[in-house]
Amino acid sequence: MRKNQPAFLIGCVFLLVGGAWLLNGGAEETFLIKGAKIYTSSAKGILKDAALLVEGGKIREVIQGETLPSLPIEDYSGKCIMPGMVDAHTYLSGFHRLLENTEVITSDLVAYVAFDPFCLEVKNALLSGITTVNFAPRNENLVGGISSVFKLSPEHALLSLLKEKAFLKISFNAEVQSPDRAPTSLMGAEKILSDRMMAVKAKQESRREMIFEQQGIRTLLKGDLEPLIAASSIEEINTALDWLEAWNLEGTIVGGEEAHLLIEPLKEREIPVLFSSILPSYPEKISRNAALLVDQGIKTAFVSHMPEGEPWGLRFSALLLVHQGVSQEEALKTITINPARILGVDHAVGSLEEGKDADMVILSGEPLDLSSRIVAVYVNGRPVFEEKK
Amino acid sequence: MNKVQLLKTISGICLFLSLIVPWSSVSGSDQPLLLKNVKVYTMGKQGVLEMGMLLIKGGKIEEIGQDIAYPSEAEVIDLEGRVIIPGIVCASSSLFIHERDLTYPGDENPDTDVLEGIQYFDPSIPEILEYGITTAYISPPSFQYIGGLGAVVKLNSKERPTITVLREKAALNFRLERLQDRKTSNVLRLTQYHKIRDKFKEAQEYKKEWKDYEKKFEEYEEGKKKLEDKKEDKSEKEAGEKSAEPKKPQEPKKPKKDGAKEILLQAMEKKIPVRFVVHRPDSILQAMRLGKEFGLKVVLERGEEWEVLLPALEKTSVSLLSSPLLDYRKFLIPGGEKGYGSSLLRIRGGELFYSDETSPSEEQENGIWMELATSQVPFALIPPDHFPYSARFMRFYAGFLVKKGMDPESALRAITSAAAEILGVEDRVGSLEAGKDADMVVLNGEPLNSLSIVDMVFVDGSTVWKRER
Repeated sequence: MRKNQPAFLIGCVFLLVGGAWLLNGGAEETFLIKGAKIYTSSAKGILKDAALLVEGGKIREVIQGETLPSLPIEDYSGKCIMPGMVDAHTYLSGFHRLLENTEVITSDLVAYVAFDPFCLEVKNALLSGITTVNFAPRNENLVGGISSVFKLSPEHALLSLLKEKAFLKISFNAEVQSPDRAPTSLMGAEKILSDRMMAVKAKQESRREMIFEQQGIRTLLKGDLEPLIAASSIEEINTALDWLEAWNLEGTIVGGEEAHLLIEPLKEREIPVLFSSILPSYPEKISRNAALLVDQGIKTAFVSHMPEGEPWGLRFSALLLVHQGVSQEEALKTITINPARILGVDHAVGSLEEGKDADMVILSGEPLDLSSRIVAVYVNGRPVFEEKK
Repeated sequence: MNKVQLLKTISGICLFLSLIVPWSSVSGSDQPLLLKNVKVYTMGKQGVLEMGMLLIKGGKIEEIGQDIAYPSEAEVIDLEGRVIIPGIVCASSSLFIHERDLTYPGDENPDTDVLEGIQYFDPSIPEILEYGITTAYISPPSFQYIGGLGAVVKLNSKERPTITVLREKAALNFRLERLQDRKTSNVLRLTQYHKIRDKFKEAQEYKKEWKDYEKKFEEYEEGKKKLEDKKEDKSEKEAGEKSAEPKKPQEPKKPKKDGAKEILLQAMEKKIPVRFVVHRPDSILQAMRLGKEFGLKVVLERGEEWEVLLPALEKTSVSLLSSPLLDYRKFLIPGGEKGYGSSLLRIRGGELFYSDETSPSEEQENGIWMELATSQVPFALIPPDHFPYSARFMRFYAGFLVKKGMDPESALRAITSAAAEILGVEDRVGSLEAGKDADMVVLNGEPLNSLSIVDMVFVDGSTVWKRER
């Protein structure tokens, strides 16, 4: 026993040092990150030859000027830095798991249960610069369930939730109509939803067996949860607006292909639109419609609906806005700060400002130029991947 | 008095006309046009000209240079340091085909010509021109193994949006791999190959049949002539005398003309290039085998895994049409490794998925697109799917090529001069050189930066689109 004591002691020391290193590792690091251009997506606009001071996974300071504090530096000179993109409506891997089609109203379900952190789509999203997602149930159910906002983090197994209960997903989309069950029409959808809400409202909350029933609708009625309504055509959006007014609710539209026809009411009631990202095969009028929303001051963000859409769809759609006459800075906001605001997580993500999370995408050229390579992606101040130098 | 007045009015009219007439001719295409102060990507022998000048006359490029003498009556446009590239050539598209024709299969024959099915006044023409696409190959919609004949058209919207045919029978489309039940299978690939091979074999038989006929017909003609000569001899010698008539030669039966087989024969004479839609390397091998057996001019379309066979492609004179955005593998396992099943595919309308993102380090490691650019294989870029509107963004797809490691010059060539060469229309379009069509795109920045915006588009020397914002 005595002979082994030194070895035991050395072992203990190693353990302690190792533990301390593990605790300190990554997130606690303080360093500078420098690029030729920083697209902040904030009031500061585009900064040339600036640096970000990252401490504990957050941006502590945006430093402009020549003098930099003597700290370890990640030098990306000649490259551009933009905030990690925010995808405000996505299914990722969960496409086949985000639909509970035994019932048409499943308001108790929570989407993040279906999240698989190791799937291909998460890797694709991160490699395309998407760092924050709103993981939502699908459009086939009238009330699909509750969506969650979280980071796509390198620590795979741990889900870093920004908002556990973000939205109640409601769908007036054509996908909700099915020939073999109700509703078979938009009118039916609206009626079934309103009826169910009436029923939930009428029931006494004190009954114990009711606690786990229709929790989504209950919280919605209390005002603790906002609806996220899938609606694309003018009649669907109209129905959504009428329904919101009837129940005195605030909400967000997702889809929004013909939202440009209802700019007045959308603007008046400050309803944001999550516009489906544009694929190359879409006709020109779709990008024109999106540009019209942005021009008219509707809070607009592009969403990927991955894997229905493509991860590069966000940058591609923002680029098409530029070709419709929107400035690059404004177009960039539709995939960074706008979706963050719509999701209510703009205190942490969506722009490069003091106090926000250090989620960054480093590109070899301008952010919306499709020939620029994504050189590195940082989440919470840690590189998720980096190009070999 | 009256006469004087009349004279006055006549001379007045003459004076008025003499003022009007030259002006009206100015607006016609006869007036030379000079573009100056512009960075010219000629894509031809002259390379890139900083601060170049272009003289255009009668819809053609008259001269390009740093400083050229031009006639005083020329209209001069100062482009203030903008960039000019040749009109973009899309090497494969389904533009101007009605949606219904794209979704419902019809009869498929080698002599089905896409020109009979396209819409010459399609409303989408200005929207395609807006992005600088001036020339496009239109593939016949195909669902089985023979697509039929495609054509190269030029877009124009000078008077009204319309298209003009630049080259008919530009290529014969075949499908070596058929995506049935939303996956490719070896069995289907095998039958496709044999069906195509049989068609060519039949055409060879047909050719032989006609050759035999022609030979027999010659013999028959000769025999007939001999007989007539004999008759004449006889009539001269002993008129009215009856003798045993010699056997009359029988006229050979004429084989039926077959338009489809005629087309296949033209393909075998290398008059019409043959396009094979392929995905996996095995099919590329099959296409090359068919090309060798029947002496075809082979163009591979899609061919996602071409890199496996690059050395072999270099040896044979095979051209490649592909894009880094294509990926058939996702089609084999719907939705990728996890398999989402049919609902997702229904939403995508059975269309192929786009390729996955790869990390830059992976891209750097293989660098296959740069390898292709430095190889001898003629390469042109195609859109990542078969939907008509996807043809608009050729310049952005070329940006993807640059992102994947190809040099910008080769990437630009893949949407201009190289595409024109593969389509066989390089004498008219694809590069800015004296004598070629004045199809040009004016941009406010470098051609492959997606943020550069198209300011003007010229087709045959006249402005077909101009940015107003």
